[in-house]
Amino acid sequence: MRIAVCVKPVPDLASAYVSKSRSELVEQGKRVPNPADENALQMALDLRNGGEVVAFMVGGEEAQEALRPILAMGADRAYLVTDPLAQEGDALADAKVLAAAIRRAGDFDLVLCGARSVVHGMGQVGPRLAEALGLPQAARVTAASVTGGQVQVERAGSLGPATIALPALLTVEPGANTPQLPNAIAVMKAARKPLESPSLEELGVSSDESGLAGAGARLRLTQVP
Amino acid sequence: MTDEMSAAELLAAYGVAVEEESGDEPRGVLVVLEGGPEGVNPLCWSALGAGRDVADAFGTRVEALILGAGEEVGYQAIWRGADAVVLPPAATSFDAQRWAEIVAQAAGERRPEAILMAGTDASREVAPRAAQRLDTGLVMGVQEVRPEPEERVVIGIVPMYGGGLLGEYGFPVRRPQFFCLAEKAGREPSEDGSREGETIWLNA
Repeated sequence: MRIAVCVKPVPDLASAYVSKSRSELVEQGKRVPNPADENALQMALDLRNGGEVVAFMVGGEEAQEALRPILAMGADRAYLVTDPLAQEGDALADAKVLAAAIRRAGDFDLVLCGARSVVHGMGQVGPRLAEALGLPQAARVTAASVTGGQVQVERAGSLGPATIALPALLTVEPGANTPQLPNAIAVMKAARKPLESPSLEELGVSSDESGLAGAGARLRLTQVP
Repeated sequence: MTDEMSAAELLAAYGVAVEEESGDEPRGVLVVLEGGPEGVNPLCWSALGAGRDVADAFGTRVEALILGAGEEVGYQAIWRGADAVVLPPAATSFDAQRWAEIVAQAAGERRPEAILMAGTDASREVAPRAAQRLDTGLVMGVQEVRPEPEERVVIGIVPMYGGGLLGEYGFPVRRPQFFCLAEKAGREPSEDGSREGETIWLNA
């Protein structure tokens, strides 16, 4: 099994707070992997059966802070798109960039994403990425097993279990499993794992389709409820 | 030149090219309803209520696309505020890829300026796929939609960081403006059995 895992760098909410006077989140710590994406990675590690797990991320230079724990947890290598023109995109733009990066990395049996991020919680990137890659999908997966070219999934919500032909994309529900924390040796080895940072040009994505320029919906204003 | 000159005539007099309205700008609101053997999923009615409010503010009409059921449930949408029901050539049970294709096809043929879906488990899978096909944005988990008729834009209000902040999202350029409502967001419209509307079939 060759598995792609998409990871979003997010603020560490444990050390962030909402400023009522500024109506914004004030970040005090480093960027961390989105928690549901860690569940997706753990599911990939459980399913890979000796195969390769490759992590994909779109983010600025500071996103490397969020990628290191993913490599330490067990991803074999990673693609980090730090191109400035790819930053501040919405799910529409990010799905295009991630799809291009995944295509560049070759064929995968499964693509896994967290079901939603702690920032907006919309859960769009996974299904959008499935559409961009032309893959069938199952969302909010709580458990998965692979047999005979198919993946059997349990899902949160009302849609129930499903069996889907591979290759496929799954979005993994937060708390679906317990991500295994890496030990000190794994953390040191992570620094030597391959990390590729392709430019948008190398990915074949135009600047007006990515980042802020490629966004469909934009946040105009934040306010304290 | 006289005071009676229109703005277009005035611009033409100064040699400024005036682009005439093409008449094919997106118009109307498309609300996506999920049907089944027992009729329309009741969770979808609040999306129809919100769609009706947006359409009234814009002075346009609401078309209800029905997925997963056929003509037999169309009257329910008309009675609750749709001006027309839009039906695919054949009803299909839930399949995220197929339903996303139908939503995108309906948007392509009907050219709405806004699309609304209810926040069901099915729509959370279908709406992002459809939005990607349409190359447009999508705002999900919307607590409130607020039409701004002068600009013909719709603003979606969404909780962020677990509800610590509220975000206002808009669509500066891309169309259609696509929203997926949070459960129980929007007004549930009452039934009016005297309302009538048309049925529109999508191309096979």
